[in-house]
Amino acid sequence: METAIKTIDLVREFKTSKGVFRALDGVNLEIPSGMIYGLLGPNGAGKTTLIRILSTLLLPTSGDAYVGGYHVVREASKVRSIINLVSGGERPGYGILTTRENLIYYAMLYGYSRREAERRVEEVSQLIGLDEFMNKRLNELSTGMVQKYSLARGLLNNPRILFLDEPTLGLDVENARSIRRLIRRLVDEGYIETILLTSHYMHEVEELCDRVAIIHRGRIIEEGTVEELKERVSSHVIYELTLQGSNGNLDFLRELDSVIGYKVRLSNVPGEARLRIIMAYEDISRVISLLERKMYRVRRIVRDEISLEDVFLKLVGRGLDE
Amino acid sequence: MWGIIRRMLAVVWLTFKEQSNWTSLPVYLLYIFINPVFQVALYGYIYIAVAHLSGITSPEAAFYMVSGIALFNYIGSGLYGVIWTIHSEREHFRTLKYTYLAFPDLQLYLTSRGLYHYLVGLATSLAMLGLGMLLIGYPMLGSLDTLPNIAILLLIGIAWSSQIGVVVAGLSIYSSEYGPVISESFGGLLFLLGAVLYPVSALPPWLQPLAHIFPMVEWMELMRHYLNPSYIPGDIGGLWTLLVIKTLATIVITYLYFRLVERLVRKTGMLEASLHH
Repeated sequence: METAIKTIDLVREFKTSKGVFRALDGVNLEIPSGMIYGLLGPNGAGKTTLIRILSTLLLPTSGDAYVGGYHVVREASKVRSIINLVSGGERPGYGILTTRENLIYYAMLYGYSRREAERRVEEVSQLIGLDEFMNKRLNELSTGMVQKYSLARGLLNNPRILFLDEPTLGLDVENARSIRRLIRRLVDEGYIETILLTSHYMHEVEELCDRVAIIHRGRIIEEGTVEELKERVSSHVIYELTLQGSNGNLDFLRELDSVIGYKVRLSNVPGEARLRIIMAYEDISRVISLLERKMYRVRRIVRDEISLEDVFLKLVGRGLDE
Repeated sequence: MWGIIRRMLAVVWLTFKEQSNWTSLPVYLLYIFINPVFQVALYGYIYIAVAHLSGITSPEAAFYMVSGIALFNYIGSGLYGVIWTIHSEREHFRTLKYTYLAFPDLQLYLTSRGLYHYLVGLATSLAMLGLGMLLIGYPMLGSLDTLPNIAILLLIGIAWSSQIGVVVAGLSIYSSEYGPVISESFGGLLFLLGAVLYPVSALPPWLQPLAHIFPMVEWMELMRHYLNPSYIPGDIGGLWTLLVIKTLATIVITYLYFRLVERLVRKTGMLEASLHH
């Protein structure tokens, strides 16, 4: 299978007031074409930095990166001709122009004539489902519609490789679902050859991506299909507990040899929290007694199926959003 | 080549839409003409008032001042259009990184963003010249024979001033906070040194060499000459030679400088940096 993206010992450092911060620390990736590839990691893990380097917006400090076979530093303009980038959580565009005008403008920047641009914008707007918003000014669109507009802009030049940086960031459930459906369609129906998607939403990556790399503190710590990654924790035991009581941290759980990692989420019920815990072997009775000694009341215990989140818990020892 | 021109025309169209579609066309026209017209009226009346109070009239000095204001309006409009692109696209519209990926060359994009402003500047400068000369009662202007020279000078004016704009835009890429200040200050510097209201010889001797770095002085003096052939600023052939050499030098230096800027911008990630409003 052809390689769409390849990085070799990619390093990116930023100078800050506190010294040098290494955002990427020797990233090695080989992403085959014809798939949605997910880059999963918490905020600050290095996902966006990697996308910025691959899309030629940022130079690496050292190492090499190739996109579509072109070197991102030495052949930047060739890289730009086969890629596009869509970032979530922002509203880029000329608010006083309509959606159609914005898209036609960008199509023309990519070299289409006015007539070709109009035709291309029509095709893309039908694909994305923007038709009824085409004559609205961009600053009148909802956040969800702006993200669809961004996706449409990202398709105008018919890119071989599309970078999606947190494409559903800040969207409500319905809009996020709609964007995810669209992303899947783009690859399944052959509009885009390869998508590199970054996200810190587990379910998004699990739902969309054919392969996933988990990035943490600038390093790729695991890579494979979702099933392969889950397989790597299949011998582990996962429980979800509903707790009441003390609201302190649960670091004391790490005293138990069996505990590999855990994640705490606040429940909708006041005073309640959900604890997801991954253990190397069955040891839930000791966990419960330890919790009760620390003044927690365990209201509910469920042995759960393995999810991508558990892979992250195993690798990092904490939840993705903690 | 046609592909590049088509892209540049799209940028001119965007700039027109960006500038104009907040209101109706008549209101927009009023908006673009009102400031320059009042500006030339202000300077014209200052001359009239001074002449009235002192009893001394100098139509040549009035011509120098009014033509300078009008011509600076042309150069300044385009220059600001180029310089402000970084600020407006990075801070306001958040489009700079996407434009960078789409347009083949950022320097050419910045230059294209200025083109519409030069067109507006030309229209308003003509209005300023007409009104200004009428106000000071100066017998105007050159014959139709000088129009080709004026047209060539207008194009040369775009060439050097847009590239100076690119230089300043390159500086403002590094500072989202001070970008607007840099552009305003630079406009003021050109106004001070560029033979707008007074000849360079009126400047303190230590400032005069600085004024001669830019092609503006030669450009201004030649434009005045072809607007009014009785105005002879010196050796016309020599001024043309200097203007062409300085313009070419500006283009070459800007090209090299901007390649460096682009690399540094990619190194520092400043295409996406923005001031936290």
